[in-house]
Amino acid sequence: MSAALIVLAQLRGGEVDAARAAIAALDEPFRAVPGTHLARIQVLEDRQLLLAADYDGPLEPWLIAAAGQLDSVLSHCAFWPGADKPAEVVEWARERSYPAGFSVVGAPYATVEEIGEALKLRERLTRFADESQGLDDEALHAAWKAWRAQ
Amino acid sequence: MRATPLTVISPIRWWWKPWVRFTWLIARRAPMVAAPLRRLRFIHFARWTLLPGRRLLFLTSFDGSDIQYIDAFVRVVPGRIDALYKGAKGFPGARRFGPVARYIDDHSHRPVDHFWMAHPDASVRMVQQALLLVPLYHVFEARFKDADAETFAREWRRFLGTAQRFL
Repeated sequence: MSAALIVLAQLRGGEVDAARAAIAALDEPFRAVPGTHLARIQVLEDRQLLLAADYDGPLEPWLIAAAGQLDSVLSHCAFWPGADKPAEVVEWARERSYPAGFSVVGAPYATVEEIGEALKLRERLTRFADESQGLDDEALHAAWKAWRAQ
Repeated sequence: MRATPLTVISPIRWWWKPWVRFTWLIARRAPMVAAPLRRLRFIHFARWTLLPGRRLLFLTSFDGSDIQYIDAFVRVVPGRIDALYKGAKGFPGARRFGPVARYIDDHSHRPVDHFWMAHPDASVRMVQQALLLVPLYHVFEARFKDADAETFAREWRRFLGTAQRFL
């Protein structure tokens, strides 16, 4: 089951625009953070930075990996220890995180990997079902065996 | 990307916090409370949490537009939304689309500077269908992988008949 992280951190005075610019310069950082279902990072109107994510597995490795990708943004937050200090990163995030009160999740019991595999299978099966229409029994059997071996 | 992210922060009255916590307790224990929301099948994630300073944070991502999303909430779960937001300052009540849409517009934080999804091209429905299809196919495969051509073809067509709604 995926877990939720909601972190609200104060940006340092005068660094709102710099934080926005750092976010704009990000190049899909969460792609490099295994187990991320979805994530958002945004500057709120009251000089706070919101980092929210749904992820698989324990929090610490996810946070440490995310910190490495988001250091350029999080470095504008007050008391950010720096991504090179993993234990302090975890503590920093814990101090600023808020528990999810209630959630509705589309696929709550599947990992990112399971969802990816399932989507891939669905796509392959759909294509095979289309392509194999009209084949006689022998040809269908042979086509399925070849498809399965791919 | 198919999904739209939305971040809404609602100021709430001081006495509303315990009630909100109570509604969540009930909702967690009684799946029927959130069942209509789950049945909407376009919500990737919807999440509420209480923030300091008497604020209620709503984070969500969904397939389609804001308008469709708000409209569905107003039509399908107005009572539940009222139960959660009645103590939010300025909340107009969940029965009519226009005032709710204006309220959300006034309290949403846009843009979401960076939003990322692992499977951006997949709708909630596609994900749910795919996850249901996997065990169905694996059972079929295990049973008929060594079958002769005639049996295989007959069972494949039967499998497709069942699996069609997930493809």
